[in-house]
Amino acid sequence: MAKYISLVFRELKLSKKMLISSVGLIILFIAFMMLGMYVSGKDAVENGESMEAFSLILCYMISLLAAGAVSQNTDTAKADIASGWSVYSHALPLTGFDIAVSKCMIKLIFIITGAVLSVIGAVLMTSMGNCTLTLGAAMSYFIILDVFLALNILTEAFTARAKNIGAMKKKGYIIEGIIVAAILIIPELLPEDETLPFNVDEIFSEGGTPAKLNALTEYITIPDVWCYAGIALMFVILAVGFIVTMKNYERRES
Amino acid sequence: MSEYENAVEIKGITKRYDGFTLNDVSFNVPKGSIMGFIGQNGAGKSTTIRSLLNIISVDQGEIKLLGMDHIKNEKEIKERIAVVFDELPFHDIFNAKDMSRIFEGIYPKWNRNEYMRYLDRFELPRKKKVGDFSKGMKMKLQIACALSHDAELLVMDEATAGLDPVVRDEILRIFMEYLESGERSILMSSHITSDLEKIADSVTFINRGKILLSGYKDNILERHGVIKCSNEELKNIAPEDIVSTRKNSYGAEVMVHDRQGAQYKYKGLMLEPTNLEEIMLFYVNRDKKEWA
Repeated sequence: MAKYISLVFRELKLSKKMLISSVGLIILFIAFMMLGMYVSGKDAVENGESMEAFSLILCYMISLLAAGAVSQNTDTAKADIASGWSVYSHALPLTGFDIAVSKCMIKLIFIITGAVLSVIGAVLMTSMGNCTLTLGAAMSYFIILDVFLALNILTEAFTARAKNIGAMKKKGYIIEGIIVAAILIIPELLPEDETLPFNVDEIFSEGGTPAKLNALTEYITIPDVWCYAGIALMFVILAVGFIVTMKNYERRES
Repeated sequence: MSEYENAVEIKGITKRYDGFTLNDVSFNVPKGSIMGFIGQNGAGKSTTIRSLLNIISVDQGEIKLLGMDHIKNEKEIKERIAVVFDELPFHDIFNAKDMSRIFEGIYPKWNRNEYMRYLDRFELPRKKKVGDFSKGMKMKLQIACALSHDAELLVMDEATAGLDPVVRDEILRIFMEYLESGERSILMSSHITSDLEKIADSVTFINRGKILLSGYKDNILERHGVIKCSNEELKNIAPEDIVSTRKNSYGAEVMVHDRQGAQYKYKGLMLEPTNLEEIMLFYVNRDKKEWA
């Protein structure tokens, strides 16, 4: 156990700045969302409109930012290559399992921090919107996080064997290019959805009616089962990440 | 401490890269001794050291550290050895105290008090970030870390390169103290032969991935000598006695590999003892036979 405490201490010290800046960014974003909620809420109450769809969208935005911020803790890998620690660590009595456990623990610390903040954000948004806190609003973070974690692991698998920062950056650019291309191309290949139960332009125009807003709310509400699946998938992705980290460490320079 | 004859045993290791081959490298570091691993930059010293630490995989050969297989018993070996690289492999944001916190979990025999004693001895600040340390301070910190977990073998890769003579001398003294018990060993790679001349018991010369010479330092120094002669006198020296010949404006300097034999054979010529640096130079240029 002492070994893991030491390794986590090292990782945490290296990523402390990143963690603090992520927390600060999320809190700032929640504060902005609260301001938006407060301003829009006044008008909505006067017009007798429901804030449910709006608060849900804000919850998702907070989840998106929180998931994005906490999943970007890969800077320690770059720092390890730059300082020479990645080579030196092979001269220490450490195994791939030890390294993977410590990296996984750090990931969990970041993930839990993001989860707590996104739930706080969801509670604030729904209470300010005077609507019920649904599981989807509180747990959308995990579904979005899955995407970020999967992309991170893909990047790690691709860049982990880089011998220097230059090679790592080069490989990083390639994988990021592939991801961006996939994001741009995949939606174009999907068939257009013409079955929307509402007209987006109408909802956000002056003539938006409660019935139409309810249709939107219903459409964007995440079913509970997705939330459970999102959390389960996160553990699967973390397990895959664990194996990738372990195998990468065990592989020797050829 | 376990019973083993050689702290390091390397038998026929070969590693092929595009443009460079570590070719059939073999040598031993006897327990309780210090071996200097000498070669110019790019000769294969770091590749050999990285191979024995299993940082890189070898294509062929056998490596034993502390009497154990370097792959099968990797974890046990690494708990009992220490490694010092030419550059400090710790992040700039850490301080000396942080490093103790990190190593006390990694090494089962980490001795915090011993580490603090080394910090005091080296006059290293405990809370200053290592990024603000000078080159000498960084090396001292790395050595303090290496000597604070009762390691039986210290492996150093160009550890004294880039340090001023005062710091180098201080570090060499520490190594001598470390060896006092007779149970500990050092493998020290360097291209600064004067350091190795001071402290090494044995030396191994490597060039272009091949071992040129390996043995006890005193023996090697006794065996070799340099004949200073004119170009005319050079013609009388048998080629089989010559390692290589350095030409200069006054004539030639000829390194012979059997000083006693040469003394008897070439009585009229001036034959002088030599040093490790000269031996390295003459052996590195052996293929040329004559060089300037």
